Amino acid sequence: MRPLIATDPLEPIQLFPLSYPWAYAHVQQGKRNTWFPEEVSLADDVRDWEERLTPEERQSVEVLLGFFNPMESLVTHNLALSIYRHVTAPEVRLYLARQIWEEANHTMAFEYVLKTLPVDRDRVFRAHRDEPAVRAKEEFLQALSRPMLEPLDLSRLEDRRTFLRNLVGYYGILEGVFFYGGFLFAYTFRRRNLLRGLATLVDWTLKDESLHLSFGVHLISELLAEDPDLLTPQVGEELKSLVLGAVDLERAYNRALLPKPLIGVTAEVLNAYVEYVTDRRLEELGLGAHFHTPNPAPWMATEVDVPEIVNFFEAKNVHYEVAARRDV
Amino acid sequence: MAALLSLSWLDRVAAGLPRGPELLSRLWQDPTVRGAAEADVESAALQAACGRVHEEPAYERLAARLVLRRLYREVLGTPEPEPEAYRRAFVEFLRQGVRCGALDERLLRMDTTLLARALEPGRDSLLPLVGLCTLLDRYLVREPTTRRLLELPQFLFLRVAMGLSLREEQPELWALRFYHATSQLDYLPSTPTLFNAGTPHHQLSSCYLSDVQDSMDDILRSCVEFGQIAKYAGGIGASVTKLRAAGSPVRGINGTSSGIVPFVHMFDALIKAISQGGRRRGTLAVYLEPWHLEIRAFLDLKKNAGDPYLRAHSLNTALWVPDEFLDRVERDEPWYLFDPQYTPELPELWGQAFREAYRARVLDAQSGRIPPSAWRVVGARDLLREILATLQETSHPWLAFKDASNARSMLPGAIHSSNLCTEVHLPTSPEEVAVCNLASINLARHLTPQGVDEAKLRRTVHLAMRGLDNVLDLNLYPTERAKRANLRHRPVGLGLMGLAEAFARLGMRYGDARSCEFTDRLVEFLSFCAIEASCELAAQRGPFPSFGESRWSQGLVPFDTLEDLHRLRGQVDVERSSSLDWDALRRRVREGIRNGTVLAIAPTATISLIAGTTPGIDPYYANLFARSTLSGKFLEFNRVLVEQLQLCGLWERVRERLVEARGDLSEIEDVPQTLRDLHRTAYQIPPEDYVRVAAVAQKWVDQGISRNLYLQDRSLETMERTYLQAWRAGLKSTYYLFMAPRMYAEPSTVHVNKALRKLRWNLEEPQTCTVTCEACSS
Repeated sequence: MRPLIATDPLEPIQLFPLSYPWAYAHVQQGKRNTWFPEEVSLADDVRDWEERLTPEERQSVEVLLGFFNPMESLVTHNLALSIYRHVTAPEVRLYLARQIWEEANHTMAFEYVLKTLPVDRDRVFRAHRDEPAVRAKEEFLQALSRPMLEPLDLSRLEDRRTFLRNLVGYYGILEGVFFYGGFLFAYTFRRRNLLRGLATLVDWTLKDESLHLSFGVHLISELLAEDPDLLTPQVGEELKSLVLGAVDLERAYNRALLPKPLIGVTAEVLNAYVEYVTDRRLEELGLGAHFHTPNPAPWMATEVDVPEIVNFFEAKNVHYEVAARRDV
Repeated sequence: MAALLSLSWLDRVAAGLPRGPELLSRLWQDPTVRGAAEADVESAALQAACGRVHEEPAYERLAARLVLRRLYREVLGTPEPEPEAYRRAFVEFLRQGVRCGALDERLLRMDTTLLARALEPGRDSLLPLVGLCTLLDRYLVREPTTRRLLELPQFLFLRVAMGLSLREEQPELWALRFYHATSQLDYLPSTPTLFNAGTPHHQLSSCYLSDVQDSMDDILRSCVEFGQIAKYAGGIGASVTKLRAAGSPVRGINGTSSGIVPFVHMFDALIKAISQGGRRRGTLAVYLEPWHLEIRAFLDLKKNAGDPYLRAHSLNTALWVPDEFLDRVERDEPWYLFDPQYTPELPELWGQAFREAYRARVLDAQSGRIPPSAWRVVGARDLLREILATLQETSHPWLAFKDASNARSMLPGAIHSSNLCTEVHLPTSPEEVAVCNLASINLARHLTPQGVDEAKLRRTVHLAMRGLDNVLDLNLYPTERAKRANLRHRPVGLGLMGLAEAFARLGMRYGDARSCEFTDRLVEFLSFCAIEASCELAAQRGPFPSFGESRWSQGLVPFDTLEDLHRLRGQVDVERSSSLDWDALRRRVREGIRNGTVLAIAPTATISLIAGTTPGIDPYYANLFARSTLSGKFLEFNRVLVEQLQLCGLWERVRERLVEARGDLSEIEDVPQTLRDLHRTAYQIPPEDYVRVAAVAQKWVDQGISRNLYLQDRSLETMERTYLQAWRAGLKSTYYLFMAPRMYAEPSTVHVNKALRKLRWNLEEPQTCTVTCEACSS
């Protein structure tokens, strides 16, 4: 069985026989989940924006978009420049390539929203520079990528730990915590039957991210299984403080996102949700829950958790799959 | 910030609900409620209650009461009105409504005081939360310019009842009867009727069918017509089979046609533009017979990628499938595609005549009498597979069966397509656009502990039929062609909803032998009563004008046409028993019947929400699920299951597991096996059960049935088997296909640790090979 990380990054790719069937299964499912932002009409969202949202609500949506947009591209950079460079198993690389496509598609989905809603584009595009809380999150993540721009020497334990930090930072923290808070915030609008088009794009994005996270958990587990010296208690503690530090950044960001409460959501609720989701990521990493905060948003059961039946004249069905097999 | 003690109204809102004080205190712990300004507490509490329905179904009642408070405050000025104030306000509502042009002034000519006295405000509590929100969002009348809410739910039911009675000789008598039946949710007229009855824009019909002729004039005329129909909340089914294919010569311009796709794209844009004032989307289903040369381009219309000019994102597509195609599929024979310009007779023929004409055209093609660019040959099976794969990927095109539809028609004239929702099957022509108005009986309101309350059902059917017949003469027709057709044939479509709820309450598994037997007898009874009612109306009002040309005049009833289908095919896979005295009814029918058609089972996607029951003949999607509509996303339970679990004292334990189990009981051990068998999710019901339930109903229904299908298995083999079964069992059509998703977003409110336990996804995990064989070794 070939390792996840071999010495030659240009090792010739022979996909089969597979060593990591889970990776290939993720590739196939990713393909089937293919969607395009243009499938969703944003006409009603525009009307909501102009006629029903308050100025505070519009502003917070702009901050949300100002965060998501650069973050999606950060993930893409990291996948391409940091992770793909080092992982060599072909089926795993295939999924990384697929994930890169999906993150690019998310970027395009947010661009589609930004081009359609009459948002203050300048403010949105400047947010990641001007808004300190957004900038702080961005710098936090960039700090995890920079050490990997020059290839690591993965024969050294220290470099392997850097690699692990990167995976935890991106899969665990960015995709697993930061994005999840953002999704929740988008859904607080759909709860009030507002911005339904945006919520549909979030449905698809969340589904993609769920697959990414599943992949990330597999990848990290596999890495640790192949490399038992990697996760010592001390390294575990370091990773935990990395995660907790991220939560602090997120709290500051949530205060910037919601300086005043909106209907059905406050910064307090978002922060509690962040803590709840963070516990989940810590547990998945084997580091143990820290906050023990219960989920403050039971209404997410309706928005995300339960099976959904769509009146397809009135809402978009996000559950179909493409590439049906024609041979069985 | 508000203090709990000063909010005694909250106590009243929770009064009588199980564990009311506990519900309230949990709500109060929610920071969004606790932290709200006093004026916002009600809204925040409503939001919070809606968000907790999955934890405790009683929150749904609490939320509904909060919505009612808002409604009452807006219309009556107080959140807790006295019943007398509610009734008095109705007369004022009528006056105001007429003054601002929202209501028909003829309403004021009735004895409004008498009518107002009959209002039962308490019936507002019968409405489920989702129904109430839907009414509030779209149905309740508002002042046209300010959009201020004028109407309350009981006002709506009475307004519609009055609107249906405008031409009655005793309008108040009938208005009261319609009011009592609809406000108690025994039956509901269709959405356009609920929107528009009693208003100056009295377009009350749901469904229009049109057959587009192969000329620029007719295509453009269709555009105008579709726009007018869509404007007034009508749905359209349009056949484009006659339109010549791309590359086909066009005389007069010395060029060739661009084919069907650009015109379909144009209809799509038209429909998108007309959104019915945000209350309902413009809707159109385009039908094509699968021998049309452009069948492949038609299949591509709903793909999610590719040239947007070759796509139609808003409208729906369906195939009008002749038996000849499916016979060739079964025999694995070739299938010939034609440019209809060279085969103009094919869209007009069905059954044996179609077969002969089709085969004659095949010979024409083979011997060069049709130019080579105007025909092509493909494998019938290959084409069906492509159709089914497309159906799986895009949920289109829906499959409808041309020969079953035509063979079993009671009316003269060819049926060229079905309608938007595949339940209406009526003939169309260049002079006639078919129209159908609909209503649906709420079966769940006609049950006894053992079965059906037949006496009540009969009364409701008779009343509903009268209402439907009234609509024909009250209706505002968008075009002459529609008016002419409707008044000539007087077709109506009475249907039902709540079948799955009835099964659940009566202890029957959806699709098992008992439930099929039940459905058979039920729809037989429904059909019998509807025909009986229509005969009585004929005795008072005269038969429909084209009665003499119809099969009714020969003393036939829809059940008899099954024999025609049998003769055409040699076999129909449904048994043919009957249990009522049809001979007596046949004799009455021969004397005259008021309506050219009586039954059609619609999807009832929205009116079932108002009625609070399962839609049409569809199952519960799952025991816990969310429904996405224009008015919001709502959590729904299988209420029958909840009641049964509460009776066993099991509800508390099961409730916690239900979200995690995604509404599927099969792995919740606390639930007794009998209940697990009874309450399956839509995907657990085998496809053949769906076919069987529809088949026994279709025996009796003179139009059609919107049969949704739910598949777990993605193999084309299963799909092929299912659709061929549906065809062989005599169904006239199928509707939407739901495929079980293989994965879903990571749940939020459930404990997840993907490192320890995988999510219940169904990813196709390939096997790791243990042996390196030739395929992979270098």
